[in-house]
Amino acid sequence: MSVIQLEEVRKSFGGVQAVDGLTFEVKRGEITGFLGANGAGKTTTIKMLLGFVTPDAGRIIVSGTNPSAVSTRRSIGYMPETAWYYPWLKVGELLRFYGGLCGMSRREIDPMASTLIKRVGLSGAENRQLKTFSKGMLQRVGIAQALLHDPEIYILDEPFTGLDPLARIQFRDIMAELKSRGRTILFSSHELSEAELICDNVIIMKSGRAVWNGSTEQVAGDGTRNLERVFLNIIGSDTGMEA
Amino acid sequence: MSLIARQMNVLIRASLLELYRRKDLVVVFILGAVLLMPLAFATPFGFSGAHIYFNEMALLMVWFFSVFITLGVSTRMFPYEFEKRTIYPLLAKPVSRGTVVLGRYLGALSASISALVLFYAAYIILCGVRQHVWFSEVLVQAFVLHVGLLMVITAIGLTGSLLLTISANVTITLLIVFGMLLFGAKLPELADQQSLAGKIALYIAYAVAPHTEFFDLRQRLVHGWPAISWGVCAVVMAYAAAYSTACLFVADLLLRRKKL
Amino acid sequence: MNFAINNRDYTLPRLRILQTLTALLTAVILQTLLTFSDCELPQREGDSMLTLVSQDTRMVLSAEMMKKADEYFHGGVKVHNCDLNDHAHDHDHDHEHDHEKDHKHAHAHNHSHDSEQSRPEVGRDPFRWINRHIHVQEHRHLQAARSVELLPWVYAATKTSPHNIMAYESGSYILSDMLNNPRLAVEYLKDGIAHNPASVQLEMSLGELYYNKIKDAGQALTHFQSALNKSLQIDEPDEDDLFMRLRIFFYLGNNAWQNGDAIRLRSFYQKAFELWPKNPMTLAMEQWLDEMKAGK
Ligand SMILES: Nc1ncnc2c1ncn2[C@@H]1O[C@H](COP(=O)(O)OP(=O)(O)OP(=O)(O)O)[C@@H](O)[C@H]1O
Ligand SMILES: [Mg+2]
Repeated sequence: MSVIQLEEVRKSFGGVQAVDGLTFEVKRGEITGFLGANGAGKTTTIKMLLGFVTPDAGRIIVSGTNPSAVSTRRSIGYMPETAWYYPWLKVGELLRFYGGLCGMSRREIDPMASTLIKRVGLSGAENRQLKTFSKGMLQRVGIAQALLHDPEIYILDEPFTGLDPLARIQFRDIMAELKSRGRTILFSSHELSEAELICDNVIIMKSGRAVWNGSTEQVAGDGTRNLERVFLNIIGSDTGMEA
Repeated sequence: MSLIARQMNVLIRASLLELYRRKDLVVVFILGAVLLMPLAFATPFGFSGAHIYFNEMALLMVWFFSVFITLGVSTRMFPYEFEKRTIYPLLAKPVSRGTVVLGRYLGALSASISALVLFYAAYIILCGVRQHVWFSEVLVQAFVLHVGLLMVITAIGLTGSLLLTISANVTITLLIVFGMLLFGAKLPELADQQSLAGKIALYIAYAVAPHTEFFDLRQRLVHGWPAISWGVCAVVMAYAAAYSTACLFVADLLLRRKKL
Repeated sequence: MNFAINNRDYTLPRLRILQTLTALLTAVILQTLLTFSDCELPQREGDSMLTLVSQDTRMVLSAEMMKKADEYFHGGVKVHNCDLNDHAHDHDHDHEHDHEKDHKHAHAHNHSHDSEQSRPEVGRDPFRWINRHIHVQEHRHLQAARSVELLPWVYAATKTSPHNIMAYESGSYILSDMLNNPRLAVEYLKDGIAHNPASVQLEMSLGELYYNKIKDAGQALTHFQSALNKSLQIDEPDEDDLFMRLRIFFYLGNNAWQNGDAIRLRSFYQKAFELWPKNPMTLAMEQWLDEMKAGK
């Protein structure tokens, strides 16, 4: 059963065709990697999935409904590509802020928040305002806030960027745990090795279209191919970098 | 607690935390003390019985600083959200844009009112110590109407911040607030001296611009005139509420149309 | 009573627009603070950074402060259509020779109470209705004993611009007549004279203060004489200067009359007659002369 569905979705900004007839679907309980070169249209697609941007044409269904409906976002955990969070708040306060927006009570938020803070490796930094956090630490904050209300679907824009190797491993574990609980994850990334390790499926975008959509087994199917090769085959085909 | 109430609650708390963590208030209080201290101990010609000048200056500072703080809080919010992209995780939560506008408005307003309470407390203490008069009905009315003023300024600042850059917004809002404070009541008379186009423009301004002069009880308070009727107070507060609501509708519309 | 700057001495641009600028308000506050902190304002160019605040600006600020004092006198209400300068002139020319009333500021509060009479009708304008309830619609006059409330502004006005002669005049009136402290008024006027050595008016006011309030005819005479000398040094005296001179002759004549000195009285009368034969002051002097003749 698919929880995210796109059909012939198009979006242009002025003269730039950011998304150009994109069609794919993400099934419940699967981890899907969303790959593509810079400017391929990944972030734009994700913004449309969250209802930030309305498509010019095509159909998008998230969790059975229209993504611009407020109620749809109840079941979505989102982590933005780059975010500074409110710098004068502490991480616990930020989680209370987002938790409250999700309708959670303090009693629900506080235990969840302390677990998450530990889980993303921010213990010891609870009493610091976010303005003192490093880039990777903020990235961890981003992970924590996406997980806070335990949503069904995770839409993460480049979650691995800026994480140190240990944090990557921890985050892979988190993803695996979410998957084991039947959660659906769609994440964009430039980290092909990470994607290969944890994804059930990968979608490779080029110039606003999905040019490759298949399971990770399919990628590894004939033994000689790996995701990097596939990626370079597709993306590098007009840059002379064919494998 | 309902969902909306929880959402409002956290939006308001965040604004209050921001105001107090940013330490703007500390700066303002130090500035106020530095400006008022020499005045407090002035004894022109050796006479120490003059109070009105001090009350007026202190109240003027309350006005300046509260407008300054209110504009600082209300005009920064949305531009900051967009500049720092915190708008994305915010709107990714199950919260409507209307709720965000209202929550941000109430947050900015509570922050400004909390600062106003501190300012009036300082005013009452400063003037009370000098004159041994601590309370008057006009003082209560002045505070209530000042809250009304902050309601309007916050609404304008917030709405303007979805259209203009911070500095342009602050400048225009300040011009409107103080321009209307000085000339709002005289606009019809000024209009009657103009040619047709000017007349129409001034009458439109009279109808549309926020009448900040409604909220100004400084003259009554400082010079010891009697209190106004509470009915008039209620009318002015209703005006403030209506004006703010209209602004917030526009803000909601603007936020909905805003490209993310 | 009203305080404003004398148009004759200083041409003030109508800078109402300045009031709208918060910059000016800040400047007023700063200026007030500086003056209250007893910081000496620079008298010469290049004295300090305060010379940035040029003479003209200081005069404008000083005038604004005196307007403030006037407002305070009326319970914080700006009394419109009460042009001070006209007022002062009327006053001067209608002079009664009653000494008590002769003081420059003794003009009774006969400004048109316009705000009460001709305010526009509310009609169907709800905004006007609100404004009329919020803002005070009448004015009142400060009790003499509370006129200490005016002093900060007067003090600040002359500290801001020591050339604001009207401020010295008003200040000395408040000190001597409203607060019953003519000695302080004398000090203040002397300070004014030190800053404005050419001012006939200040010298004259000091003389009147000694004459009418302190009843020290000797000191008064010195200052009237000094005022006369200053008046005679004016190259091209205008009508106001000549009127001031007439008043000096009047006082000097009155002093001669009190002392039974007919010769001096006659000489002052003749000079007054040359200036203004039909003026009540001239006529009064004529009457004293007649009395003295009859008495002899
Ligand atoms: N608001 C916008 N206005 C104009 N052009 C835009 C806007 N947002 C995106 N674009 C354009 O759309 C195209 C797709 O951008 P998008 O951000 O979706 O790429 P991406 O795949 O996320 O790239 P990256 O890997 O660098 O994050 C780019 O050419 C970009 O310049
Ligand atoms: Mg991107």
